Amino acid sequence: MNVTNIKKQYITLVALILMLLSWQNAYSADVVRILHKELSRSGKSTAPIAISYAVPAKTSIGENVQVTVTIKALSDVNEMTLRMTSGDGLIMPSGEYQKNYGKQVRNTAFSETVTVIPNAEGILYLNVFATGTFNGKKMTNAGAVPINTGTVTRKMLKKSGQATTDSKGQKIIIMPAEETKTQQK
Amino acid sequence: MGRMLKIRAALYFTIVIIFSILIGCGGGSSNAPLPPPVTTVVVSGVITFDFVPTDSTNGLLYASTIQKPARGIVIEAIKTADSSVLSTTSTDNTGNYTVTIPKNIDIKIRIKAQMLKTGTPFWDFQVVDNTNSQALYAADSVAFNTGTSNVTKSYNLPSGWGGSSYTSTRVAAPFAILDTVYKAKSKITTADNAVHYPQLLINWSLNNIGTPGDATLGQIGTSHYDGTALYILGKADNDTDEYDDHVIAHEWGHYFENKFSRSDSIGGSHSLGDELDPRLAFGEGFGNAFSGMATDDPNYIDTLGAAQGSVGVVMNLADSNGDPSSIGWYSEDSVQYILYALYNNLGFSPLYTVFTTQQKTTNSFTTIYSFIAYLKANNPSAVTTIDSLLSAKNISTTFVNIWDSTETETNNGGDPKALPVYTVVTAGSATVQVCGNDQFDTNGDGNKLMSRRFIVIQIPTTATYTINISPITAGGIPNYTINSVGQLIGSSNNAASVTLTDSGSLTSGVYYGEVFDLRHYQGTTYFVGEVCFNVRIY
Repeated sequence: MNVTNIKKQYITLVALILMLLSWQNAYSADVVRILHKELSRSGKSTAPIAISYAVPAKTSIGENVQVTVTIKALSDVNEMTLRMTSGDGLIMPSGEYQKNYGKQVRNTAFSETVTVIPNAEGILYLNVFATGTFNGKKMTNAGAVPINTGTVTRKMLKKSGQATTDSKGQKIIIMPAEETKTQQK
Repeated sequence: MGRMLKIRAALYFTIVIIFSILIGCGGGSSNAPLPPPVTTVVVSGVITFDFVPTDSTNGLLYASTIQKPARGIVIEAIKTADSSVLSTTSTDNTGNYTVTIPKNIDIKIRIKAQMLKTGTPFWDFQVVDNTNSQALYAADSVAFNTGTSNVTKSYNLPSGWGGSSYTSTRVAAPFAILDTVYKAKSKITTADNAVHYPQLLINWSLNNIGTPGDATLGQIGTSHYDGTALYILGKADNDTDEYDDHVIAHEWGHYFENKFSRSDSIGGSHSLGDELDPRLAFGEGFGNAFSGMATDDPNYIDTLGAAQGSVGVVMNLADSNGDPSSIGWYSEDSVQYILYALYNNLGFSPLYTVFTTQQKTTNSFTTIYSFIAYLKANNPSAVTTIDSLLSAKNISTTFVNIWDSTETETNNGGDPKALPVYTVVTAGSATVQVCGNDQFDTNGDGNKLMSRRFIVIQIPTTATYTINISPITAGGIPNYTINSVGQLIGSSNNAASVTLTDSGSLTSGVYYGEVFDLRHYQGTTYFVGEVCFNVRIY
């Protein structure tokens, strides 16, 4: 056996393996996990419109993010509309989104995709409002699509006051009371 | 010389007498003790909060904000030097408080988002931040010195609204929530003033938003009661509920139902106009009706949207027209109308009695049938009124028991196989047919009319019995539950299209349960359609 040929075959084999590995890694990096979820209607009374969405599990600041929102009429409806607005830290390059679907029958669904750009780290929200007139009554469901940006999930959380512990060891949040001149009865 | 001595003695004697008189003069009896020195002062005042009214078209009307008394709220006087609590009290029903504090000491007044009463009755309702380790909300005054005389210190808790958005701390929000709880509790008190309420945490945060997920991040889905605590929305420009008193009262009503009555509601998504599982219809109809009872206002308004200037759901609980797309024993709209009208006709006490006694121990699922059967039995003079309300909502007036076992109901919701409400299965007798369907379950929620069918089981003698459920419809996946007085005593977990058989001992008597196809129960993204089973117990 020619040693040079063996070496060439070995080098070719190694190169092939390396090529396969790099292709696999590149493929993994390109696959983005998409979350598909439905917004909850389990609690207080709601309008008969279901809202669900698909959004990448993770995004980055400045990234163009495609969000698909689906609304479904659960009852015959007139003047069905979808409106989406941006929450804190989120940019909608095309501005607020609104679309009218008019009269629709039960079980009709529509999906719309908008582009949003996260401008801050944390969980940002796309506000979703689905409205319809049902038997003459206008009703709206509100929800929010979470855009998980960066790594610090709690960064966008707002505080109501100063968190501390009282003399009995209970956690409390202190907010300011305003003195008034109300006379005691 | 002797005369001089006499004069000196008289003078001396006079001085002594005068001095003695002066010592004896103390403003009262010469024998009364001197009053103790003043060591305390009374600090008092009134606590109010910004209340923002709702409107059925324009949502929250910030321009119409008024100050309302914060009633039954815990007040602490805190010594600023070491943060110790010098005195604790609660505001009265006009928002007034009074504490007695040492004089000349620096203190601040702490207004806690807590209603607390020990003894009988008992309650402990707290508004906490679920995004901050359930920390209790509180508002502190600026520190002041108590001085040497009584002082009035009144405080208002502001909404934080700056004209077009929230620009400062939303101090009022937790107290607006408690104001509704105060009303709800007061309504219960009209029927029973010796209630021991289990502690209730009401989770509210300005981060609480309408997406399901991690509650510590505010992702609570929607305002709801989860069987343990309340969660209330608070995200501005999306959906806030702290001023939507009917929403708060509805959820507090679920807490009341859970702790003092019984609810067999299977929960899940629901809307007005849905044909619901009758247990869910009763539970949600009760929540809406109770919101009207607690507030004595039939106008349910849920605000939302940008600047909270829109509305989500608006309904008039006293409107007999209601939602025409769902009328009957499976409709929360029908149940809320009936219950609220009963409240207006009979008062709260008769309803409270049924809820806390017979409905709690009913040997059936908790539906409009069980509630009405007991209400009629307790109030025979009101039967005509009750029947007129049932008729208005296309519900049988002649059912003789909590299962309608004589099959008087004729409203089938559009599917004849939705009836009877309970199919009677007698041990040792002929096979019966039970059919389910997901035609009403547009969104695959698994909680609609015919998602599960009810059976009532008659056991003549104590013995071991076998339940046999075989699919009539090809592909049917049979499952069942058997219950007794609110307790699950038997169930299946079958995922195959097979004839299901299960055995167990049963004491003679009556039981109730469900028969259902697994796909109807779980809910699917596609329509399964009608699935029928043969059911036999032997």
